[in-house]
Amino acid sequence: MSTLHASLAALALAFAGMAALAFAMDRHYEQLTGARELPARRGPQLRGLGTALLALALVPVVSGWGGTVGTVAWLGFVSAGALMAVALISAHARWAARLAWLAGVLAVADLAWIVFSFGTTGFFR
Amino acid sequence: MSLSHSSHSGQSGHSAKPTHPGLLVLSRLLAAVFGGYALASALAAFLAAALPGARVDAVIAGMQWSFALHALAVIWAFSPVSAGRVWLGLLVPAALMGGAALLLARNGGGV
Amino acid sequence: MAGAFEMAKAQISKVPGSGAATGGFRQAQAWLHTWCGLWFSWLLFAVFLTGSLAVFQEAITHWMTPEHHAEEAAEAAARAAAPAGQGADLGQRLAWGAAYMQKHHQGAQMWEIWPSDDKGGGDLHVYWFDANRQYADAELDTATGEEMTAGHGHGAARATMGGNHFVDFHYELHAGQVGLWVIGIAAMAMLVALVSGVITHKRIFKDFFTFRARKGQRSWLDAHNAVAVLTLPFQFMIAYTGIAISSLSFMPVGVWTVYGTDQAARTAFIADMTEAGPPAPSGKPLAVPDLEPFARRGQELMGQAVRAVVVNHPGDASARIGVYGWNSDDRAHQRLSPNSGMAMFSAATGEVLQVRLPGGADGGTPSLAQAVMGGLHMVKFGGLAMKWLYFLCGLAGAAMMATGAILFMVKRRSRHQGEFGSATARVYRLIEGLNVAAIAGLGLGCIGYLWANRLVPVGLAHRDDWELAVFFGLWGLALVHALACAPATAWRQQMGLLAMLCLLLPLLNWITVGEPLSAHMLEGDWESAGVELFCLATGLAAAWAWRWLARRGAGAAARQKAPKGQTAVAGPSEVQA
Repeated sequence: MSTLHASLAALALAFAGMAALAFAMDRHYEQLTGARELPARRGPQLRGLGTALLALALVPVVSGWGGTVGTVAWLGFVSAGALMAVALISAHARWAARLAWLAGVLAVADLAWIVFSFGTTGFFR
Repeated sequence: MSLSHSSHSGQSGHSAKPTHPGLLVLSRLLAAVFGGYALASALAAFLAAALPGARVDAVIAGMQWSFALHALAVIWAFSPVSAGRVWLGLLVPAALMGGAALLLARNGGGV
Repeated sequence: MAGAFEMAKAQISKVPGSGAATGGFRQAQAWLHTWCGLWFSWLLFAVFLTGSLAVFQEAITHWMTPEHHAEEAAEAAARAAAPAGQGADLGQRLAWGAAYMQKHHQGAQMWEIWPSDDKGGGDLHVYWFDANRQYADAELDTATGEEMTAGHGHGAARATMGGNHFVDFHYELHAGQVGLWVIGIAAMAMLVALVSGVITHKRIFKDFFTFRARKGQRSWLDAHNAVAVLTLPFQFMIAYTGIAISSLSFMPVGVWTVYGTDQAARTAFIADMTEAGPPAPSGKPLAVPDLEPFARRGQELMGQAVRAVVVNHPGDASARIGVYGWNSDDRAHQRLSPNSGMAMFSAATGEVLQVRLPGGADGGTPSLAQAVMGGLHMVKFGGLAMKWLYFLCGLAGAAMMATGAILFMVKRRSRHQGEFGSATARVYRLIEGLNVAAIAGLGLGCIGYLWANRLVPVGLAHRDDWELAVFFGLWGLALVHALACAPATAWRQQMGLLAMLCLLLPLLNWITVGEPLSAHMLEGDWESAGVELFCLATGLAAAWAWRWLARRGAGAAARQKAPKGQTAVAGPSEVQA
């Protein structure tokens, strides 16, 4: 994967993942929906989704930079995604959520397309 | 809130004049900066002399760990322990490790 | 006595120093974080801002040397036309280098020849240690092998430190060993502030994503927490690696203990660190062999193009030839350690003494860790994307310092805490002034440096010193201004000036050099375009800040009764803040 492609994918996944983790908390869910508390299972679902997206971000970074540098890059993208999430959620929670959905869907679709077209070795061309 | 200032010098606030808190802070600061550096140096010297393997690597490892110790020493120096205890807690281990380093360097290492 | 004591306690002003190590552990750490953080916040902000700029030092230098652009473009075109790599020229260049050293520097114990860049073009340089054991160098003409006198062959490019100013300032304040130590102490203070900050931040997970805007003090605290916590791994790493890079300066005692305290001991340690121990000269003469075959073999063993060829003890039978590589191979951006490949040969027998693959280290794990830490700090890995990530996190770090310092005063504007007894008000005033000068003032210095680059005449002697003078001079003036005017005024005016200078920079470039921003982009000169675009973005941010300050100031003025009975000030106060 080219580093540009990897960067975009990693940033999208990190942002989406961090946003999901944020909305799994009562106070930020309230910013989004007005409801004071998350419905029963929504919290663990969002937390699981967020963690999964963050973990998935390892794929493009390792593909683009190898294992050691990729780990450092992953930490950087997670920080960047978190900063984006905080800024956007505080500015406009609904739009932040929509953007997070879009970013997550696009990134996951992109990775899935690579797997379906080239198999998992497609990440190491 | 009790009458005690930051002075844990054992004096009551009523009968005797307590040590000026500013002096105690200065004492802690000096202990943290210089005592901490002494402790960190002692660790660096000790690791340089004691670690097995090539001496260049032992020296480098000693330096690398010493900075973490200094930071932690400063943190501890400003926790709720008396200034006197801070000085002892930093200088005694420093002396022990430093002494050990010199002994090791003179006898064992020095290759 | 007891009554008087109680009354004294009841006064607002406390005795200076009370508060250290009082209460529980967390409370004590909060005190430590506040004061350790505050006193170093201004210097650390400068370190982080210039450090972030230093990530793009080449781009900044490129923008600051417009005369070079045509030359660089021509060279790039020539290289594209003849991509032979390090072809036949390599042997010729090495031979010239060796001949030059043989002729002019017979007694040198070490020859270091840099024949070309990784594509076989570029300059030919030779280095050695002179009589004072200082590094000396000469540049040789790539067409004739003759030494080039200073300034020859590079056109009339303006003398400037370029982006290197930011690098130098960042790690030693242009002040040599003293500056290095000052920065080192500040970095250690930063580590203490980071640890104490984490200890103090009870709700670090609950507040992870919290930012409440337009809530005054709470907003500043949220901002401080956000930029710090969300980039925490970076902040710890950058502070620690920054100290570790200069380990030998800060913690020499290990070398003293195991190697000795004299200069020879230090040299021995450095030699151990950088390569296999140097041989002692044997005293038997041996002419320096032709270097090209060694270079070619080294190239094969390392897998990298030749960067430098070093001959130790030339002319002696114990001579060694070391070949070092360029980190421009395909996998360079995937390695954390910036060490290049290296191959060492015996000059007499030609046997291979040592091979180091790219990214490896000459010693064990600690040596590798040291190399990795250097690479981590200076982001020598990962390419452009990593540079941008470091730039972002570095600016976040600077924001961490700035929000902290501002928060300190915002808290105390509404509630005087009397930490300095009767002098507290004066100390607060000083801190307010330092805040303006350290943050807005430094910004003015940086943008002023770029303005100076375009305005100081090209032919002026020591113009690089003049550029530096503008940097420091503007910063100093900002300090004077901040201490002379009311803080709110100082903030507003300096932000306004900063906005103007940043937004007008592309126009200045157009007027002085004749290239508008659009030309940079059309030519594909993204380094220059990037510099100007970033200045524009900064200018917009500063303009927004200026407007926010102006509205707040007008609002505050409107709330006070004007002397002649007039009420609201016209203008911005009508707008909802």
